[in-house]
Amino acid sequence: MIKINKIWRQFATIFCFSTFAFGSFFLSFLVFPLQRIFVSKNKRKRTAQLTVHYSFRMFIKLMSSLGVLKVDTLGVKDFNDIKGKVIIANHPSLIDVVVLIASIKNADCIVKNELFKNRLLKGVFDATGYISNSDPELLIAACKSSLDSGNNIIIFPEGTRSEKGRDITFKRGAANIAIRCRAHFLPLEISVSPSTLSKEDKWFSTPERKFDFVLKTNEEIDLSSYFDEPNLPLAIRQVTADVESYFKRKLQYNE
Amino acid sequence: MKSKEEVFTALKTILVDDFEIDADEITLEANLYEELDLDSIDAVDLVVKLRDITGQKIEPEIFKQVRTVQNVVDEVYALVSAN
Repeated sequence: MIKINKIWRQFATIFCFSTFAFGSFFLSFLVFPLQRIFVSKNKRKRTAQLTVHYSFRMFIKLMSSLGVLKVDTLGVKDFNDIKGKVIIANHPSLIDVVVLIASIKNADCIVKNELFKNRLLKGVFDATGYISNSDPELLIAACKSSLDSGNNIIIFPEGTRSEKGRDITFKRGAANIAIRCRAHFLPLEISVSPSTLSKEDKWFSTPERKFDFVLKTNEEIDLSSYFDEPNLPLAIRQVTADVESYFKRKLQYNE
Repeated sequence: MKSKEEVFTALKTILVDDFEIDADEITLEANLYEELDLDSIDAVDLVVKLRDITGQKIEPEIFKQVRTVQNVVDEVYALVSAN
């Protein structure tokens, strides 16, 4: 029985990711071009972001209904009321951002510049106006206007997926953005068990049982005492070290 | 600042005081990004600080090519000695 279940989940996983690829293609080559014709310019980015939000919701529903995973968003009911926050999370799996965008309606993302060259995803990033990390000054300016307009920004401060069995280390980009844009952190904890879709796993490998994806929200971290710090590089190093050890504590506690 | 040594000393002071970098690690050969752990936003801040102490307008574009402490010293020295 266990074996049949695993074969089923293997099949379902491949089916889901094929749907994801097809969906990105469909959005890039049909939905977004149509939105460019029928949606006025000032609403276009927002419309594209909502399209991705609802598409990802459907994708997560598809994965859960096929028995690939079970998503549990503990205490994350009022995500629609969150405005102007820098949302930071640990990054155990490939689908973290999918669950986050599916859960948070008004979210901008920071995307590694290399990913803008990915043929499948390029159309999605162009339409949604997700922010590239290529130029630091443009990045901060884009984040500022996004946060000021009430959007939230999702960042994985590790910069890439966590490595199994290693302590997480944060890059300073998240603290830089929050402090320079005078915004606060909303820390989210993600746990995926059994571990799958991590940096070391192949996307089609299937864990021994249906995996649990748990998203837990925490109290906001107020950064206002750092906003007017005369020496920003030092303040940013301090904040980065603080949130890094905050996450280490939280994640240890969960184990 | 008349000599490259003076530029290096001034740069070292900035890196230690403002970027919490260990003075022992700051050699002319040290790579800013790999060994001294600066990131691209730090580089922008460093340009601003160097502009403040030299009084010279430094083009961030020039700085994008810079990799080592030696490169920074050379760029800053070229600017101050040209004026």
